[in-house]
Amino acid sequence: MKFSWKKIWKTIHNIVVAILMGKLLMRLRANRCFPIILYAFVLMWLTILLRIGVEKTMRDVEYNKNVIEELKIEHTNMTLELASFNRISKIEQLLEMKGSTVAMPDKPAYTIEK
Amino acid sequence: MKKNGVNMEDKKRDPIAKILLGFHFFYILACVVVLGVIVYIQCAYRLEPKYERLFKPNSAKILLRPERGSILAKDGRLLAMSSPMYQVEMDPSVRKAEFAHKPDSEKMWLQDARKLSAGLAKIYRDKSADQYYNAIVQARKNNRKYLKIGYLIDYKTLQEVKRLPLFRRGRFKGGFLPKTIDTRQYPYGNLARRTIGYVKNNYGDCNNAIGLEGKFNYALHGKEGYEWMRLSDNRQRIHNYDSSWVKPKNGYDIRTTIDIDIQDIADRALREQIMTSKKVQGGCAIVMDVRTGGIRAMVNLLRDSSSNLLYEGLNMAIGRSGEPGSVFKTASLMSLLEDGKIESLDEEIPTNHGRLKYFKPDWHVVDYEKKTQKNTMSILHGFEISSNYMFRKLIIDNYGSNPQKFIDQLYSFKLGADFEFDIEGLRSPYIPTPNKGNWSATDLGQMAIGYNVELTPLHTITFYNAIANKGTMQKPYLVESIENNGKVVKEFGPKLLNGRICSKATADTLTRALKSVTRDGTAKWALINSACEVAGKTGTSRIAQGSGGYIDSKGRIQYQATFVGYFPADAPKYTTIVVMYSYPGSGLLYGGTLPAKAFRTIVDKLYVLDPANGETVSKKGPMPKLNKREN
Repeated sequence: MKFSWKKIWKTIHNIVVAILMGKLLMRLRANRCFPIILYAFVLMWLTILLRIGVEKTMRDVEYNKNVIEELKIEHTNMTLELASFNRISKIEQLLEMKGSTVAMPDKPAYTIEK
Repeated sequence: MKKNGVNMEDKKRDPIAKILLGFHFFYILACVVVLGVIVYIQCAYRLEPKYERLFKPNSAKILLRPERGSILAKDGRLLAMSSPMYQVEMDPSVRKAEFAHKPDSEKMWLQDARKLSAGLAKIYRDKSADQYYNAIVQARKNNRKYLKIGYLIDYKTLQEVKRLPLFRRGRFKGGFLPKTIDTRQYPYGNLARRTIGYVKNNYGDCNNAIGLEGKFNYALHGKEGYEWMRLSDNRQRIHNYDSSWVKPKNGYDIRTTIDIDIQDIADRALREQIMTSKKVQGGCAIVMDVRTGGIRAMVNLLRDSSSNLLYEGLNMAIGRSGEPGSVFKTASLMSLLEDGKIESLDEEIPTNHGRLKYFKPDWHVVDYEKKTQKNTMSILHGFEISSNYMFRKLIIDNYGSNPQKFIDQLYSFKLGADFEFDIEGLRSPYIPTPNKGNWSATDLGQMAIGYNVELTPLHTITFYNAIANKGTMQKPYLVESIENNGKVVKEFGPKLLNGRICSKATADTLTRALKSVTRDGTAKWALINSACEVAGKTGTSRIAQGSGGYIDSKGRIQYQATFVGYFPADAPKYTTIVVMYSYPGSGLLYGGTLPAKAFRTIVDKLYVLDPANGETVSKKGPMPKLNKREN
């Protein structure tokens, strides 16, 4: 096809006229690819929906991380409290406070032969 | 007229079509305007910064701190652990602007603040309810945004604080601002404080900390990581997976050789004896496993002069070297035996009224002569009564012509040798040599009885442990391994300092001598009827006061009293040393008294706790007789 400024100008003129007349999509035969256009919009909508969903999940992840962190802290605090009770002098003190007669043995434990 | 089959006249007269065309042109124009604005915004328009930041995605780089590794006892019990605690803060100015024209609401808020103060006073117990209330009201009046409440609390207490009036409404209505702070916790309090060390948290450089916390900071600290956080659509921070991030690497755990039960027993034994006498400034005790050299307990107690309480202020077990006194006589005896200078402990030595050239007379010998009417004494008896004359004479007679030989023997026993230890601060021992300019005629005689040499309690116990171990000298150590979630990353374990410092025969002979000290000698009164037989030696020495000799500027003398030994004597399991230091001018402090009593307590309790020492009840045989406990 021979290059011609006249033809290009005519094409632009036709496009502008079609836009002003409201006939551009019909001239381009957009009715044939209307389902594709619709599909594109559906994809965009799904992408946005999924992104919102992902962000919500990530917020939930951060929230759960904080909950797990708090549980870990609670567990650590309880472990420490338990460990501090594991001292012979503390156990003796607590037993004395309770009025118990349980104390350190006087002699080593007997070993029962199998 | 018709054009393309359409009646142009009809078309011109259709008003609805004209209106629709008008709308169509209007929308075309609007599209052109919108396109123009879009191009302008993209290319030319610049938002004001205060609005721009609201549109830009706000990503922040967050430093992820690693969790500091734990320090474990021999059996895995926690000696040190990182634990987050909470510092509660309050925003007292919350809703103040809102209530500015609502005096009733402000009054209700203040009433809630009063109830809150009462609750805080009950939980924290550091201030009264009125003090808390006044602080909140004053801060609200001054529009302060932060008010610190109390001290660090744990998770359980935080839940109680959260339920209080005002605070239960959260940050924006109650001003409740809890802050998580990483802290280092020590479940056993001050037990082994100088050995374990102390750090406040895992932030910053902890390499200069004392004890294991400082020396092993490279393993305990871990490695920081980072992540990028961005704001989500509803203004909450979420992880930004589009940016790089590095997971933090938590610190490794350190498994020590410390047995916390033995540490507790040794701590109480030492504490008990120090508190019985006002003349004792402080002391230290070490319990070592004979076979491996692992340190089961290391106690350091110093008396606070104002409160009279004992605290772990200084690691005297490794950091305080001094003249060991009579406990060094065992080294002199070992040298004599190894060199074949004496063949038996029953050899008799002339007493000569306890007199030796250049030295003061030994009154123990004079008393012995009066009592027994003899002018000879066996080496064994000389060792039992810790006769200075006996050992000076033996060493001078046998090494006087070649003192270097004696010193070489001492070095072969590793008494003068430096070695690497698992915590910083181990002082170097000192043994003089005749080659150096300051050697005098009395040096050899003084060295024989433990003067003119300097050893730390750790060096002394290492030597005695070698005797208990039949001549094999184990290197003392505190750290068994470095672990990661229970899996060993690096193992340290027992190491030898010297495979054989003396023969087994010499070790047996020395054990016989040490047993006689506790049975018939200077430690008899403290160790008689102990749970098992102990082989040990007492030592009492004056502490040098610098250039003034042994007397300080106020004319006072300070003493170091030691008892070191191992038990059970015939099949030793533990070697222990107890050293006490007197206040200057408070009088003599003998190794056979308080240190030996503390040693006795440790022996009795450790012996009883070990089921291997108990009797075996077999299927057939007499029923064991149990002690009736009196209620």
